[in-house]
Amino acid sequence: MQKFLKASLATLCMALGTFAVTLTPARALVEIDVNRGVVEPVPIAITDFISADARGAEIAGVISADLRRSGLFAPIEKAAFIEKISNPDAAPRFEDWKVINAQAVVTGRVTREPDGRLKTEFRLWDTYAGQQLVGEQFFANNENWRRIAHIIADTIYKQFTGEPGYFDTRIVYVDESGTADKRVKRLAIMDQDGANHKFLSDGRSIVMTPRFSPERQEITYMSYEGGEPQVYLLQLETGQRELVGNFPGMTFAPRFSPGGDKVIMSLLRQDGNSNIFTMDVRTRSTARLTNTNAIDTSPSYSPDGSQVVFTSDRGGRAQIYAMNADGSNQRRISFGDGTYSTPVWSPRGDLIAFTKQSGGSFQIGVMRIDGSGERILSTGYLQEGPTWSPNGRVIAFFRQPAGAGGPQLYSIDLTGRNEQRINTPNFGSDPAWSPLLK
Amino acid sequence: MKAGFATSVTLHALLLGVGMVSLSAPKAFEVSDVESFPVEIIPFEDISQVQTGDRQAPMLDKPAPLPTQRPDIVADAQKVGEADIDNDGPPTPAPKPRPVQQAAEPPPAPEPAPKPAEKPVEQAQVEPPKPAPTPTPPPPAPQPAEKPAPPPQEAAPEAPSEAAVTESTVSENVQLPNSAPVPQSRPQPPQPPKVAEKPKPAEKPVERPKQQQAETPKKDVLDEVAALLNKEQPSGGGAQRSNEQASLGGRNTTSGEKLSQSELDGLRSQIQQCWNIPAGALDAENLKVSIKFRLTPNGAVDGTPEIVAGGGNSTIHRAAAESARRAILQCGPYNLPSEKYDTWSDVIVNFDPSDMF
Repeated sequence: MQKFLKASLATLCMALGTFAVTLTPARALVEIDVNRGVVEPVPIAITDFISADARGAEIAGVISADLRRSGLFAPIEKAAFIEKISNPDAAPRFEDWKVINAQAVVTGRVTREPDGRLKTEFRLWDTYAGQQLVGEQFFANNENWRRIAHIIADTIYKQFTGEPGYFDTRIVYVDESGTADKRVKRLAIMDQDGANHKFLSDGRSIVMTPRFSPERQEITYMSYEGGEPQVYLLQLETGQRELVGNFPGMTFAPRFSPGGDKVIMSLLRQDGNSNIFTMDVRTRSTARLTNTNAIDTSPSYSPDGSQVVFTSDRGGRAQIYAMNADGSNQRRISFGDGTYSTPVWSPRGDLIAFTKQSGGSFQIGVMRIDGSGERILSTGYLQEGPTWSPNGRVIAFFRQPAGAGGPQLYSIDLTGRNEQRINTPNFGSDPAWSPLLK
Repeated sequence: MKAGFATSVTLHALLLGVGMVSLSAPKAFEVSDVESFPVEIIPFEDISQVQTGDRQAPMLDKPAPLPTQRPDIVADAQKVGEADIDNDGPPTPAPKPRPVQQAAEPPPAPEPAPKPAEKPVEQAQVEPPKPAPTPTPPPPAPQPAEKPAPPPQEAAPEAPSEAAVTESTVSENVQLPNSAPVPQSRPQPPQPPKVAEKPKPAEKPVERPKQQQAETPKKDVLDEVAALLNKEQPSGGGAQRSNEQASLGGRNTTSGEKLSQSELDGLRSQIQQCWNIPAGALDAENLKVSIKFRLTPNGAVDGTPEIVAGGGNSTIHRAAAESARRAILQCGPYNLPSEKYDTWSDVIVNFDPSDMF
């Protein structure tokens, strides 16, 4: 019986196969494969938003700057515009924009509501398809106009890349001022483009490794406040600060879990070994994940919270290891020359960024989560501390040149292109990128 | 020293001498004349390409266009007329309705007749309100009865004069009164005798009869035209039918050439210059997209390119597909030999970035 069934099934399959062959869909006579392309920023025209005051032009300026810094867009100089947009709701004359090679046109309007809020409308037009791609409007307080511009830039970014943007974000970092021997280190926060800079600590005690909570407006960092380094938690909105856990010895290299409910960090014992612990932010209960006689540090969760990547010198030299979130299945994933440190799992989940020290220089690189496909994005005298933009396409880090001077913040695209300096008032180190603001 | 030098010279001279005698010259390099053949390189497609056929059919051994069908034989029409269905019944029913319809139309004329009697009154009543102060209600009644035409004229002059006044005030010119014969416009309404009876309803009644009159003649004309155009499809006969299954080929029999490799390369490189690969995107090397589009004979993209594969559900796939679509729109018009238009009117481009990573 089974044989019969099998035979009939096979016949049926064959019949269907021949049927499919005879019914091959219509094929154009010319079919070509294109395997090469260019990596060029998309030319885009961002017109000044119509407004009674200068706000419209300011918003357009911030959008332009955001998109240009991303390296994926090339905002066209306003002087080249042929058509002057007077009605942002009507379709622009696409021919005029094609002439200046704009692939998209952004138009908008800013008006003030009776209650004083800003109403911002914007439309994104595809010049070649001759249609509107997006149209949105936002209401916000006047002082939040930069955020509106960032959100619009994010929308445009998403339309062209398919991935969420990262412009409506902030970066927390350690501001360094004073001479090399009397360095004052203060916690500082700013928008990702350097605007709205603000200090979070007074600089009386040294602060290090600030990290953003992925969910809340919280920062965890290490401070020498109590004499020896301890991990603290800072509420950005209230300014409230608390010590995380009460461990004997030093705790350092803290990082939040994806849900923001746990902090994972290293605890240094008296004998010089360090192990990885987690602590629940609310219940304060702790758990130990590694138990070795080596130095295990710099833990970082995968975005789904199931894995942890960390560095350990249990094999002789510091290399990158991964394990399940409960500490099981510990395995080495990096096998390159040199030493690895500060692995960070991409928020997108596909890559791990790291610092690598070899041949007398420091490199920032990425590898796949199984350790393959290692790529070095940037090399320098001393550079460290990679942190991912929330969309997983840009890495910020700090670099210190040889000789005098201090560290500066930089960002680089995942492709290794488009390295940008992030402007800070003083020297800066240890950047940490926030998630998209809500 | 001297002896050694002498020996060396002697021995060398001896060696050279022996060599000159014993070593013969090499054989001459002989090249035989070979006749050259003229060689012409022609594309294989010139011979192998199917000349005519259906572009959606599979390739067959025999070139053949779409099989033809013999048109159905339709019986000759028995009656030619407006009826949609060719009725076999007596021709009487068809003609009958017409006289009835035509007869039905005249009636409206008689109808207005009775109305005028009422209407003039109404209109007279309506009119008075305007000149209310001067004219008295009684006069209008006798007027319509005796002189139906004059009253409008009287009314007309009044209206135009008023209009003239207003116009003159507006235009500031006194000359206008000279042209006071403005009534020129009045003669028009009295045109139809029927209308003459209804002086004031000028606007409404005039329109109605016009429409009716216009419709009836139109119908007649249309019917005639339709009858003239109503040629029966020729049935049967004609050229010999083809029962061959359609084979892959072009519409035209003359331009069955394929694009040469270099022409394809030209098209490819043109598109490559515009295609922005999705560098840095998640899983970028697997973002494959196929776009199908139609070209006009001058190489411009006709309509919107269609995403035939790889559109995907994720926003990343969609963005990659849109990027490929933009590349095609941006790069046009394409430089392709116009004599082979039939072969490149439809193009599919497969974008595959995997080699770039």
